[in-house]
Amino acid sequence: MADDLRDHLIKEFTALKDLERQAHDYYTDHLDLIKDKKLREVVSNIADVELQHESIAGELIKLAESLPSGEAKVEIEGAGEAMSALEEATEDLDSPMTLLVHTSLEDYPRTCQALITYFKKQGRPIRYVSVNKPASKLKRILKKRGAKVDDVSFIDPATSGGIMLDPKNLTTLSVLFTRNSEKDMVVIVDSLSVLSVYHSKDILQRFVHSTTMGSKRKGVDLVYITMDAESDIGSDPSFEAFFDEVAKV
Amino acid sequence: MATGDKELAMFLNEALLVEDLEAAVKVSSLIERVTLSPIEDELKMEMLTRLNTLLRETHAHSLVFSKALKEVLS
Repeated sequence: MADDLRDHLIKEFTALKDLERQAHDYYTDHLDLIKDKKLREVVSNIADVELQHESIAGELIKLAESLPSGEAKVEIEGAGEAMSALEEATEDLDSPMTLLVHTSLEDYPRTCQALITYFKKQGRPIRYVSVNKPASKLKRILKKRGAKVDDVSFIDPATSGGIMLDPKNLTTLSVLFTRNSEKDMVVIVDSLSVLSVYHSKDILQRFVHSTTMGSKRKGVDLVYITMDAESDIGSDPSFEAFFDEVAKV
Repeated sequence: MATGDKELAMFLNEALLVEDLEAAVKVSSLIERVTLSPIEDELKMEMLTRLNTLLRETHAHSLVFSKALKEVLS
Protein backbone atom coordinates (compact mmCIF):
# COMPACT_ATOMS: atom_id res chain seq x y z
CA MET A 1 0.00 0.00 0.00
CA ALA A 2 1.40 3.36 -0.93
CA ASP A 3 2.25 5.56 2.00
CA ASP A 4 0.96 8.43 -0.09
CA LEU A 5 -2.39 6.67 -0.59
CA ARG A 6 -2.74 6.26 3.17
CA ASP A 7 -1.76 9.90 3.75
CA HIS A 8 -3.95 11.08 0.92
CA LEU A 9 -7.03 9.29 2.28
CA ILE A 10 -6.42 10.50 5.82
CA LYS A 11 -6.12 14.05 4.50
CA GLU A 12 -9.25 13.77 2.35
CA PHE A 13 -11.34 12.12 5.10
CA THR A 14 -10.21 14.83 7.53
CA ALA A 15 -11.31 17.51 5.05
CA LEU A 16 -14.65 15.69 4.74
CA LYS A 17 -15.00 15.61 8.53
CA ASP A 18 -14.38 19.37 8.67
CA LEU A 19 -16.90 19.95 5.91
CA GLU A 20 -19.60 18.01 7.75
CA ARG A 21 -18.94 19.99 10.94
CA GLN A 22 -19.07 23.28 9.01
CA ALA A 23 -22.37 22.24 7.41
CA HIS A 24 -23.81 21.46 10.86
CA ASP A 25 -22.68 24.84 12.23
CA TYR A 26 -23.98 26.71 9.18
CA TYR A 27 -27.42 25.10 9.31
CA THR A 28 -27.70 25.55 13.09
CA ASP A 29 -26.65 29.21 12.91
CA HIS A 30 -29.39 29.94 10.37
CA LEU A 31 -32.29 28.08 12.00
CA ASP A 32 -33.74 31.40 13.23
CA LEU A 33 -34.26 32.51 9.64
CA ILE A 34 -36.80 29.74 9.14
CA LYS A 35 -40.20 30.82 10.32
CA ASP A 36 -41.99 27.73 9.04
CA LYS A 37 -41.98 25.36 12.01
CA LYS A 38 -42.03 22.19 9.94
CA LEU A 39 -39.13 23.30 7.71
CA ARG A 40 -37.15 24.44 10.75
CA GLU A 41 -37.56 20.99 12.26
CA VAL A 42 -36.44 19.34 9.01
CA VAL A 43 -33.33 21.56 8.76
CA SER A 44 -32.59 20.99 12.43
CA ASN A 45 -32.70 17.23 11.78
CA ILE A 46 -30.38 17.66 8.80
CA ALA A 47 -27.96 19.57 11.05
CA ASP A 48 -28.03 16.61 13.48
CA VAL A 49 -27.36 14.20 10.62
CA GLU A 50 -24.31 16.31 9.67
CA LEU A 51 -22.92 15.50 13.13
CA GLN A 52 -23.45 11.80 12.39
CA HIS A 53 -21.64 12.36 9.09
CA GLU A 54 -18.78 13.97 10.98
CA SER A 55 -18.63 10.86 13.12
CA ILE A 56 -18.66 8.60 10.03
CA ALA A 57 -15.82 10.65 8.54
CA GLY A 58 -13.96 10.06 11.82
CA GLU A 59 -14.43 6.31 11.35
CA LEU A 60 -13.12 6.63 7.79
CA ILE A 61 -9.99 8.36 9.10
CA LYS A 62 -9.45 5.46 11.53
CA LEU A 63 -9.92 2.95 8.69
CA ALA A 64 -7.40 4.84 6.54
CA GLU A 65 -4.96 4.89 9.44
CA SER A 66 -5.20 1.11 9.60
CA LEU A 67 -3.97 0.80 6.01
CA PRO A 68 -0.68 -1.07 5.92
CA SER A 69 2.24 0.85 4.46
CA GLY A 70 5.14 -0.07 2.23
CA GLU A 71 3.41 -2.39 -0.26
CA ALA A 72 3.56 0.00 -3.20
CA LYS A 73 7.20 0.70 -2.50
CA VAL A 74 7.84 -2.97 -3.17
CA GLU A 75 5.95 -2.65 -6.46
CA ILE A 76 8.00 0.35 -7.46
CA GLU A 77 11.14 -1.46 -6.46
CA GLY A 78 9.89 -4.22 -8.75
CA ALA A 79 10.11 -1.67 -11.55
CA GLY A 80 13.48 -0.49 -10.33
CA GLU A 81 15.45 -2.51 -12.86
CA ALA A 82 13.30 -1.21 -15.67
CA MET A 83 13.82 2.34 -14.40
CA SER A 84 17.58 1.81 -14.39
CA ALA A 85 17.48 0.48 -17.95
CA LEU A 86 15.52 3.55 -19.05
CA GLU A 87 17.90 5.87 -17.26
CA GLU A 88 20.88 4.19 -18.89
CA ALA A 89 19.31 4.36 -22.34
CA THR A 90 18.34 8.02 -22.14
CA GLU A 91 21.19 9.54 -20.11
CA ASP A 92 23.07 10.85 -23.17
CA LEU A 93 20.00 11.84 -25.15
CA ASP A 94 18.71 15.37 -25.54
CA SER A 95 15.06 16.16 -26.11
CA PRO A 96 13.38 15.63 -28.49
CA MET A 97 14.45 12.01 -28.52
CA THR A 98 13.02 8.73 -29.74
CA LEU A 99 13.26 5.50 -27.80
CA LEU A 100 12.29 1.92 -28.53
CA VAL A 101 11.61 -0.13 -25.42
CA HIS A 102 11.78 -3.89 -25.75
CA THR A 103 10.00 -5.83 -23.06
CA SER A 104 8.50 -9.26 -22.53
CA LEU A 105 4.86 -10.15 -22.00
CA GLU A 106 5.71 -11.03 -18.41
CA ASP A 107 7.42 -7.69 -17.73
CA TYR A 108 4.99 -5.60 -19.74
CA PRO A 109 2.96 -4.10 -16.80
CA ARG A 110 6.18 -3.33 -14.95
CA THR A 111 7.61 -1.64 -18.03
CA CYS A 112 4.53 0.58 -18.49
CA GLN A 113 4.68 1.50 -14.83
CA ALA A 114 8.42 2.24 -15.05
CA LEU A 115 7.99 4.44 -18.14
CA ILE A 116 5.28 6.56 -16.52
CA THR A 117 7.11 6.81 -13.19
CA TYR A 118 10.41 7.63 -14.91
CA PHE A 119 9.07 10.52 -16.98
CA LYS A 120 6.79 11.79 -14.21
CA LYS A 121 9.82 12.07 -11.96
CA GLN A 122 11.24 14.45 -14.54
CA GLY A 123 8.04 16.51 -14.35
CA ARG A 124 7.20 15.76 -17.99
CA PRO A 125 3.62 15.81 -19.31
CA ILE A 126 2.79 12.32 -20.60
CA ARG A 127 0.46 11.19 -23.36
CA TYR A 128 -0.14 7.44 -23.35
CA VAL A 129 -1.47 6.06 -26.61
CA SER A 130 -3.00 2.62 -26.20
CA VAL A 131 -3.83 0.90 -29.44
CA ASN A 132 -5.91 -1.92 -28.03
CA LYS A 133 -6.71 -1.40 -24.35
CA PRO A 134 -9.29 0.98 -22.85
CA ALA A 135 -7.79 3.75 -20.73
CA SER A 136 -9.92 2.73 -17.73
CA LYS A 137 -8.40 -0.74 -17.71
CA LEU A 138 -4.87 0.57 -18.16
CA LYS A 139 -5.32 3.09 -15.36
CA ARG A 140 -6.59 0.36 -13.07
CA ILE A 141 -3.61 -1.89 -13.80
CA LEU A 142 -1.12 0.93 -13.37
CA LYS A 143 -2.73 2.31 -10.23
CA LYS A 144 -2.71 -1.15 -8.67
CA ARG A 145 1.01 -1.20 -9.28
CA GLY A 146 1.40 2.14 -7.49
CA ALA A 147 1.94 4.33 -10.58
CA LYS A 148 0.49 7.83 -10.39
CA VAL A 149 -1.58 8.25 -13.52
CA ASP A 150 -4.06 10.98 -12.58
CA ASP A 151 -2.46 13.62 -14.80
CA VAL A 152 -1.42 11.26 -17.59
CA SER A 153 -3.39 11.88 -20.77
CA PHE A 154 -4.60 8.56 -22.14
CA ILE A 155 -5.66 8.07 -25.73
CA ASP A 156 -7.40 4.78 -26.25
CA PRO A 157 -9.72 3.17 -28.81
CA ALA A 158 -12.76 4.77 -27.15
CA THR A 159 -11.61 8.21 -25.98
CA SER A 160 -9.55 9.74 -28.74
CA GLY A 161 -11.39 13.04 -28.85
CA GLY A 162 -14.25 11.88 -31.02
CA ILE A 163 -12.02 10.03 -33.46
CA MET A 164 -12.07 6.26 -33.34
CA LEU A 165 -8.57 5.06 -32.65
CA ASP A 166 -8.30 2.40 -35.29
CA PRO A 167 -4.97 0.56 -35.40
CA LYS A 168 -5.56 0.00 -39.11
CA ASN A 169 -5.69 3.73 -39.79
CA LEU A 170 -2.09 4.82 -39.43
CA THR A 171 -2.66 8.36 -40.68
CA THR A 172 -5.15 9.15 -37.91
CA LEU A 173 -2.91 7.43 -35.40
CA SER A 174 0.11 9.51 -36.31
CA VAL A 175 -1.93 12.71 -35.98
CA LEU A 176 -3.17 11.70 -32.52
CA PHE A 177 0.36 11.05 -31.29
CA THR A 178 1.30 14.71 -31.37
CA ARG A 179 -2.00 16.59 -31.77
CA ASN A 180 -2.10 19.67 -29.49
CA SER A 181 1.15 18.49 -27.95
CA GLU A 182 2.56 20.43 -25.02
CA LYS A 183 6.16 21.52 -24.65
CA ASP A 184 8.40 18.77 -23.22
CA MET A 185 5.67 16.17 -23.73
CA VAL A 186 6.50 12.48 -23.81
CA VAL A 187 4.31 10.30 -26.01
CA ILE A 188 4.30 6.60 -25.13
CA VAL A 189 2.94 4.30 -27.84
CA ASP A 190 1.63 0.97 -26.61
CA SER A 191 2.57 -0.89 -28.71
CA LEU A 192 4.45 -1.62 -31.90
CA SER A 193 3.60 -5.30 -31.39
CA VAL A 194 -0.13 -4.63 -31.59
CA LEU A 195 0.30 -2.50 -34.72
CA SER A 196 2.29 -5.31 -36.30
CA VAL A 197 -0.81 -7.49 -36.15
CA TYR A 198 -2.51 -5.16 -38.62
CA HIS A 199 0.34 -4.11 -40.92
CA SER A 200 3.20 -5.54 -42.90
CA LYS A 201 6.77 -4.91 -41.85
CA ASP A 202 7.40 -2.44 -44.72
CA ILE A 203 4.35 -0.33 -43.95
CA LEU A 204 5.11 -0.35 -40.25
CA GLN A 205 8.71 0.69 -40.84
CA ARG A 206 7.55 3.65 -42.94
CA PHE A 207 5.05 4.57 -40.23
CA VAL A 208 7.63 4.39 -37.45
CA HIS A 209 10.08 6.46 -39.48
CA SER A 210 7.44 9.06 -40.25
CA THR A 211 6.28 9.37 -36.61
CA THR A 212 9.79 9.54 -35.17
CA MET A 213 10.64 12.33 -37.60
CA GLY A 214 7.31 14.05 -36.92
CA SER A 215 7.80 13.98 -33.16
CA LYS A 216 11.24 15.55 -33.52
CA ARG A 217 9.77 18.37 -35.59
CA LYS A 218 7.16 18.95 -32.88
CA GLY A 219 9.73 18.81 -30.08
CA VAL A 220 8.07 15.77 -28.49
CA ASP A 221 9.84 12.73 -27.07
CA LEU A 222 8.44 9.56 -28.60
CA VAL A 223 8.66 6.15 -26.95
CA TYR A 224 7.47 2.95 -28.59
CA ILE A 225 6.93 -0.18 -26.52
CA THR A 226 7.40 -3.49 -28.24
CA MET A 227 7.05 -6.99 -26.86
CA ASP A 228 9.68 -9.48 -27.81
CA ALA A 229 8.35 -12.60 -29.46
CA GLU A 230 9.79 -14.61 -32.28
CA SER A 231 6.63 -14.29 -34.33
CA ASP A 232 6.28 -10.56 -33.71
CA ILE A 233 7.27 -8.19 -36.53
CA GLY A 234 7.53 -5.42 -33.93
CA SER A 235 10.48 -7.11 -32.28
CA ASP A 236 12.41 -7.24 -35.56
CA PRO A 237 15.84 -5.59 -35.01
CA SER A 238 15.47 -3.58 -38.21
CA PHE A 239 13.13 -1.19 -36.34
CA GLU A 240 15.91 -0.17 -33.99
CA ALA A 241 17.54 1.93 -36.73
CA PHE A 242 14.68 4.43 -36.57
CA PHE A 243 15.25 5.28 -32.91
CA ASP A 244 17.89 7.33 -31.11
CA GLU A 245 18.22 4.62 -28.52
CA VAL A 246 16.93 1.18 -27.64
CA ALA A 247 16.23 0.01 -24.08
CA LYS A 248 15.74 -3.63 -23.13
CA VAL A 249 13.79 -3.84 -19.90
CA MET B 1 -40.20 39.23 -1.89
CA ALA B 2 -39.95 40.11 1.81
CA THR B 3 -36.48 40.54 3.35
CA GLY B 4 -36.98 37.46 5.52
CA ASP B 5 -37.81 35.34 2.49
CA LYS B 6 -34.79 36.68 0.60
CA GLU B 7 -32.49 35.74 3.45
CA LEU B 8 -34.12 32.33 3.70
CA ALA B 9 -33.75 31.82 -0.06
CA MET B 10 -30.06 32.76 0.15
CA PHE B 11 -29.53 30.35 3.03
CA LEU B 12 -31.32 27.50 1.22
CA ASN B 13 -29.35 28.19 -1.95
CA GLU B 14 -26.08 28.14 -0.01
CA ALA B 15 -27.13 24.92 1.75
CA LEU B 16 -27.89 23.39 -1.63
CA LEU B 17 -24.42 24.34 -2.86
CA VAL B 18 -22.84 22.85 0.26
CA GLU B 19 -24.64 19.54 -0.30
CA ASP B 20 -24.42 19.38 -4.10
CA LEU B 21 -21.14 21.02 -4.96
CA GLU B 22 -19.02 20.37 -1.91
CA ALA B 23 -20.15 17.28 -0.01
CA ALA B 24 -21.48 15.20 -2.92
CA VAL B 25 -18.52 16.00 -5.18
CA LYS B 26 -16.01 15.20 -2.44
CA VAL B 27 -17.71 11.96 -1.42
CA SER B 28 -18.09 10.84 -5.06
CA SER B 29 -14.42 11.44 -5.79
CA LEU B 30 -13.51 9.54 -2.63
CA ILE B 31 -15.69 6.60 -3.69
CA GLU B 32 -13.84 6.53 -7.02
CA ARG B 33 -10.46 6.84 -5.34
CA VAL B 34 -11.15 4.07 -2.82
CA THR B 35 -12.67 1.80 -5.48
CA LEU B 36 -9.61 2.09 -7.72
CA SER B 37 -7.02 1.87 -4.96
CA PRO B 38 -5.15 -1.31 -4.06
CA ILE B 39 -6.88 -1.70 -0.68
CA GLU B 40 -7.64 -5.07 0.86
CA ASP B 41 -11.26 -6.07 0.01
CA GLU B 42 -12.73 -6.09 3.52
CA LEU B 43 -11.28 -2.69 4.39
CA LYS B 44 -12.38 -1.31 1.03
CA MET B 45 -15.94 -2.50 1.68
CA GLU B 46 -15.92 -0.87 5.12
CA MET B 47 -14.90 2.42 3.56
CA LEU B 48 -17.29 2.21 0.63
CA THR B 49 -20.25 1.33 2.86
CA ARG B 50 -19.69 4.49 4.89
CA LEU B 51 -19.08 6.66 1.85
CA ASN B 52 -22.24 5.37 0.20
CA THR B 53 -24.26 6.25 3.31
CA LEU B 54 -22.82 9.76 3.18
CA LEU B 55 -23.61 10.10 -0.51
CA ARG B 56 -27.18 8.82 -0.15
CA GLU B 57 -27.95 11.13 2.77
CA THR B 58 -26.24 14.10 1.15
CA HIS B 59 -28.44 13.58 -1.87
CA ALA B 60 -31.53 13.41 0.36
CA HIS B 61 -30.53 16.71 2.04
CA SER B 62 -30.01 18.27 -1.33
CA LEU B 63 -33.55 17.32 -2.37
CA VAL B 64 -34.99 18.83 0.81
CA PHE B 65 -33.17 22.14 0.29
CA SER B 66 -34.05 22.21 -3.39
CA LYS B 67 -37.76 21.67 -2.69
CA ALA B 68 -37.77 24.28 0.09
CA LEU B 69 -36.00 26.80 -2.14
CA LYS B 70 -38.55 26.27 -4.91
CA GLU B 71 -41.37 26.89 -2.45
CA VAL B 72 -39.79 30.09 -1.14
CA LEU B 73 -39.19 31.36 -4.66
CA SER B 74 -42.69 30.50 -5.95
